[in-house]
Amino acid sequence: MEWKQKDRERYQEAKEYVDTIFIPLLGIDDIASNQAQDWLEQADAIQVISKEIERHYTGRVFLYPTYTYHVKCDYQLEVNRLNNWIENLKNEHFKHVFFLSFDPQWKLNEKDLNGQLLWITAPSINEREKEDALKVLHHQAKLLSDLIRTYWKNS
Amino acid sequence: MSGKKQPVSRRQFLNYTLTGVGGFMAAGMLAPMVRFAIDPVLQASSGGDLKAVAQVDELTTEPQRFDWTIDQVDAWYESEVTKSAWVYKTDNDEIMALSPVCKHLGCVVNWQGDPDHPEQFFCPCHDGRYYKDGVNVPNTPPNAALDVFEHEVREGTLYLGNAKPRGEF
Ligand code: FES
Repeated sequence: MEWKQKDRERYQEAKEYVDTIFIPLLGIDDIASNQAQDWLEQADAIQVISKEIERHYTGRVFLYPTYTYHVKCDYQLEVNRLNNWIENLKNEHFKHVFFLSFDPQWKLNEKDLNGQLLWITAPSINEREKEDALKVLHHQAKLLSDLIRTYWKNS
Repeated sequence: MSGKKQPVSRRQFLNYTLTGVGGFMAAGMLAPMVRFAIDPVLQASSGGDLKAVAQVDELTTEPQRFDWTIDQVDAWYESEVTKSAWVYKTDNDEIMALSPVCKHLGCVVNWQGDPDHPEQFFCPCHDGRYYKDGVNVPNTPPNAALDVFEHEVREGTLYLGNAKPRGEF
């Protein structure tokens, strides 16, 4: 399920089955900067992967909107804000929290995050080779889905 | 004039080989997953809601997963949505195309997804199970059988339409 009107009712009816929060983390930069292309590719990739994971696990995972931050932020502050978010989003049913990111800065701050960070290196994708890119992204989504399942199993 | 051939520099050589190996590995990993991207012939839709998803001669009695995409209007946006089906031939040589969408809360089920129940479909979300014919295993969360896709075979190609609940056929 995701943060959409159609899923609110669905969630109400099934909340005891939905025990996992999923939040993608996305950095943005000045569009004129030299790195903008990297962040733009990551924006597309994170969207495709998150949606695909939501499709696999729609009855158990709740996908929240992507948390967006500026890449020159103070990550320690962002960690605090995120933990605050989680504090307020969690209810008695949510037992697992996952974040998805390509940004190594989160990896460095992982231990302070109140949830599991799924960190993967960014695939280099190109809009003009959409079908190839989709193959790669769907494969990554599949691997991450399997990883999430191992967390479920061990809890 | 020197009849010397253009030498391939060491760097070019490395580049060629590495791209080759990488590409080959990627193809091996991905080939079974995303057929629609590999065989563009299969993409040509046949009018109506039917989509070409597989060649009949690649079907076996073992369920295989085929993926394809459709355009869907989702709230305000039109977007591309991935669809999948588990397809196999029954003992009577009939084609069975099952929707992978769990009848409990909609997760995607996998054939042989649980090592303890090798001849069943398994839903990883709440351990729902289905027999090979798609009927739900009693005392697991789903309370209905997997939907079945309408299908049609034309010139050796399998086309799938909408998935419908049992009893609507
Ligand atoms: S969604 Fe399949 S068992 Fe709950």
